[in-house]
Amino acid sequence: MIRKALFLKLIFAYLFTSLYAFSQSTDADKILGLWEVGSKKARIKIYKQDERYFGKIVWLKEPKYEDGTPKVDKNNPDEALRKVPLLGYVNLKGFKYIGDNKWEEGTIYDPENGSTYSCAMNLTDENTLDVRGFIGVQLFGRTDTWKRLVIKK
Amino acid sequence: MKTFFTLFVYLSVNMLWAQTDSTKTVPVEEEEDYSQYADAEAPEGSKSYCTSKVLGLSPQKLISVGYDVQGPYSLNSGAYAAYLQEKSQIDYSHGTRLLANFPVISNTRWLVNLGANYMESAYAMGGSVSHPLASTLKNNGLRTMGVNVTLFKPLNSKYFVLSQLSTDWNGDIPYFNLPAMNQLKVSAVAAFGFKKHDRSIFALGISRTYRGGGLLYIPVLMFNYTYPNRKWGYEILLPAKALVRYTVNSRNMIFAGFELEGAAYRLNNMMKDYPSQYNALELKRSEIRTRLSYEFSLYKFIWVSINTGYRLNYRFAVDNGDKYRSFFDDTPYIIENELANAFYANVSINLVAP
Repeated sequence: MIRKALFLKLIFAYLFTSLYAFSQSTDADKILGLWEVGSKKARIKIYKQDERYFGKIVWLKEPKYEDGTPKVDKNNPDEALRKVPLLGYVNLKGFKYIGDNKWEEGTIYDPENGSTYSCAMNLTDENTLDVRGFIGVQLFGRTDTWKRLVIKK
Repeated sequence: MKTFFTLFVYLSVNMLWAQTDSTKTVPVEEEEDYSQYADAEAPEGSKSYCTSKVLGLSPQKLISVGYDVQGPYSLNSGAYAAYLQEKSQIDYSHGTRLLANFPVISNTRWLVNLGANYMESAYAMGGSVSHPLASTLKNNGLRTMGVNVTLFKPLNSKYFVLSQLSTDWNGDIPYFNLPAMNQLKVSAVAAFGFKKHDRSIFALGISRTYRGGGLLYIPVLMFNYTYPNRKWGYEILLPAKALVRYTVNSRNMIFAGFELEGAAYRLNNMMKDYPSQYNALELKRSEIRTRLSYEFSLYKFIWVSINTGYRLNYRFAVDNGDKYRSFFDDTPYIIENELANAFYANVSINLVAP
């Protein structure tokens, strides 16, 4: 009888921790999908890889230069990377979900000036993502608000 | 047996949940059809708001440490009480300029920046001076310390409201000797604007300002614009400044234009040393600075700004601090001075926002 009660307790404990882990996982994945940056110049697809969150440029308002060639990362401080196409560029890296609709410990790369900043993201509602790039501490930063997009069927 | 079955079911379900949803995971290396992302729309009920950001604009300075110097030039201090008109030669005037500006709230609905500034002008004069104004400039110099708050409130995807409130302590005051609260100078701006596209923002409003030396209520106009080629643009905030910008590349920018600088300085030390029949004396200082600037990224987020030009005196007169002068009031000032024009240079090192 005692063994049965202990066994049931173990099952409930396991069930509880599993449900908690599941809810954390689903909360964390709310960020996945297609987002449009504040300037509406680019769309970023946020995806998950090895429990971390990444984002890549999947659409550009102006994808080509005036001569018709695709835009590249010409402002990258590393000269060897200046011919990498911007379309498909992974500009959000290494985000970890810390709870309360916040993802931190990541970086964001701004192809406009070739700078990489520390970055934190906050899902303020289902379709709005505040992306704060900062230098050192979050006070030294700027927030860009991204809007969720859905692909038309 | 029942218990074991239950355990088996739970373990199986948990194992399934533990699997990564492959539909949501896109490995970096995977080739994608990017054309599918062109045809996307905001979910139903989603609202968008304009931002204050304009493409191609010079980076916002979060912290700035600068040094400003101008001269040589002459000051002809006007007659005052028993003191006759006196001409002084100023070898140079110079001082530190500190600026801090932090976006403390930044989201879709609100953008709130808090700022602080400190500016000083020390006057290097050769020979002895006896005129009260020249004496206090030589012995104490002028200082400005202030804090400000700026609010950008988007109303929808096109229109916004912009306002700013600044409080400054200005005077011939020594360090850490702040004047009384009733000597605070309060400036304010309220404007309504629209953002035509991501390269253009325009606002028109009213300002309470001391940039002309005395207090004025005048219109304010903001126009920031970048041409499609991203090389040229304007950064205009009248009457404070109007600049043409040339972007060499994302880390090098050149500006040409003018700035209007001004403030009303309480002459506490002059009052102390030279009693006046007025409750307060103020130096109404206003100058137009033609400006040629070069700003560049020294290392990542550290930018250097080098400015030079010709400083044109607009007003350098002492007035009764309790008197409000309208724009059209031409009654004489208590001390009418003549300040010669001079070249100036200014260099600052800045931490810029992302």
